[in-house]
Amino acid sequence: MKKNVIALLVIIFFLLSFRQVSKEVFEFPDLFPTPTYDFKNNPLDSNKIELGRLLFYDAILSKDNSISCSTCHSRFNAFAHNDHNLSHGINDKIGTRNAPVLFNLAWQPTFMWDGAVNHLDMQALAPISSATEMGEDIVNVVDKLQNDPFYRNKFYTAYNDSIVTGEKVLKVLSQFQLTLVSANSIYDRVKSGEGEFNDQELKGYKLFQENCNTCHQEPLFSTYELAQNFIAIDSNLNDYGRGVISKSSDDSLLFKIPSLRNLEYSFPYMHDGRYFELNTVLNHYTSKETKLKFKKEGLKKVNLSEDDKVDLIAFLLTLNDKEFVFNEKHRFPRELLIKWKE
Amino acid sequence: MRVFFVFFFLGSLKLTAQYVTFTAELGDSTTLVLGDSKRISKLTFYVSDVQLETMNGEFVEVAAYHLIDFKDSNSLKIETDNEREIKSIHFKLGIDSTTNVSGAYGGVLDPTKGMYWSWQSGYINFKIEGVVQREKYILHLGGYSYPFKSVQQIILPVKTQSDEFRITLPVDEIIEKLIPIDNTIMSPSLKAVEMSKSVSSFFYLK
Ligand code: HEC
Ligand code: HEC
Repeated sequence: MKKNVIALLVIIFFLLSFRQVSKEVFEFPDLFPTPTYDFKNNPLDSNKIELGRLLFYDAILSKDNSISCSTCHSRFNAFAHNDHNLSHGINDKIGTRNAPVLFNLAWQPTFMWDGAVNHLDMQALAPISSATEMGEDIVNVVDKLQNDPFYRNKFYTAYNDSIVTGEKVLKVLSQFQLTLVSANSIYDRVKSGEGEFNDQELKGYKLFQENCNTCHQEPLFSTYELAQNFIAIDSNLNDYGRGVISKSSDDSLLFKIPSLRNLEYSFPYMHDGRYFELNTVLNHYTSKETKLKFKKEGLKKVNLSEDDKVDLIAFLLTLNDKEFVFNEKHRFPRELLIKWKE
Repeated sequence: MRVFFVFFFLGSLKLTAQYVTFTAELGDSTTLVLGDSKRISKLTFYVSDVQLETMNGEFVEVAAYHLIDFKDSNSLKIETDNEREIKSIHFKLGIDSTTNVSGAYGGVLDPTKGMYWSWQSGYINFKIEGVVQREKYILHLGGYSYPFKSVQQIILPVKTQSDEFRITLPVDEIIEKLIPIDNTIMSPSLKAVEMSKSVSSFFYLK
């Protein structure tokens, strides 16, 4: 009897310590500020991250099993999409916006080009239910996962309970996406004293600080607030950005400032993907018509010579993080292939 | 004494005896027919921060969040363990702003309950859908941030002590007074705020 109790205690202790091991610490460089995401409500756990990765890559989240999150957010494009300027979803339906990059999401206070989503956890509801993206419904997603022995098992491992809920689906998707931290560019190495800019990059860095840093603020290269960089409205899309959400003309054409990390991988640029090259983007900023607007301050115009543009682009390219884009931890989970075969 | 109170919907303002038929009539049918020309196919809303104020001014918390769905008779009743006499019942119609910006929740706040917008963050505080004079109406009232904050505080004074407090929402008032103003509201707006104020003023204690 006593022996049994001891054996049981040993097993319990073993199980407890096992669960402890699955806890993950959110790591980020000293250079970065404190994350905005409140990890207390969704503590990272390797089993949950893994489950989130499976769901991110599994088309089971769409109505006809044709589209996964990764269809539009591909790893090699810093989780943006480079085939199209506007996103392509279920039944080849074309959306109205360019799929943005996904990294350093833990520091973002709002999501989407117009800031319509206020929390990473709630973001996935938008693509899942959008008629032009995945055409599904969170209720069906939960049902499908609940009826799938593979996922029931995974939810059990992650939550010690195989009941699938909307909350759990959203939180594990957040967990995987939170681990997409990009902080290993040349710029980061220079900042941590492990590298140096060449002369051209250094010139470009100064130009960046003078002209771009107000909005595309270091070290994340965005304040993630809303601003206007005055790209002319596309009369086919008529996208007024924040103005549509707030129903206020003051907010017309305000869009969320995107990070400038990983631009080499994330073209095309802007909310409607209208520019394919950094050169074109800089020509836009220096054109006569361009007015910049950020928090009611009028910003001075951007004046750059042709040489300046070359230097600035050299600096922008130091923000590419190859290690991030090729990080094996974020890749398509092979386990899914085996699952799909069955 | 066990105190609980019942959310009780009157199609037309009839007596309590109607209530029994009313719930029985619903069964698994999806529409509630009010007279000939009025129908409700959906009536769901959140009440939150439900508290009872006792005679000496103390507050007894009864429920943090509760989802009322008129198709689910179990949802119409909130039980409490308070046995004292009470002066008033306090609750909010809808979900507070902090909860709206704090990520995913389970239970009645789980997004599978159909009370969350998807393309823009925020809970839908109050939903009513149906047909009136052959025209569809659909009011989804919500919004958590200025100037579209639509959650409403409601305080109902208790006149007679009982172990069952019946809070009534006269649906006819909504159909007669609000639908003519606008029969389609599906996103946060100033009109949604005004309508939320009106709806909250319709509640009364039987
Ligand atoms: C059909 C293409 C498509 C699919 C599928 C898709 N997305 Fe997106 N995603 C987009 C577009 C387009 C936007 C920008 C939407 C907007 O601004 O309105 C976006 C925005 C986002 C954002 C906000 C990023 C930011 O910086 O604001 C996140 C996070 C995101 N998607 C995650 C996901 C997840 C998780 C899934 C799977 C559940 C998913 N996406 C499926 C196209 C897609
Ligand atoms: C007033 C704030 C502001 C300033 C200053 C500013 N930008 Fe932007 N930038 C934005 C906004 C807002 C967007 C997104 C606009 C859109 O999609 O419609 C953007 C988009 C971009 C993009 C596209 C990124 C992507 O992923 O789509 C690049 C590249 C860029 N800016 C570079 C720069 C450079 C270089 C400078 C300095 C010369 C600069 N910006 C100055 C606000 C600003």
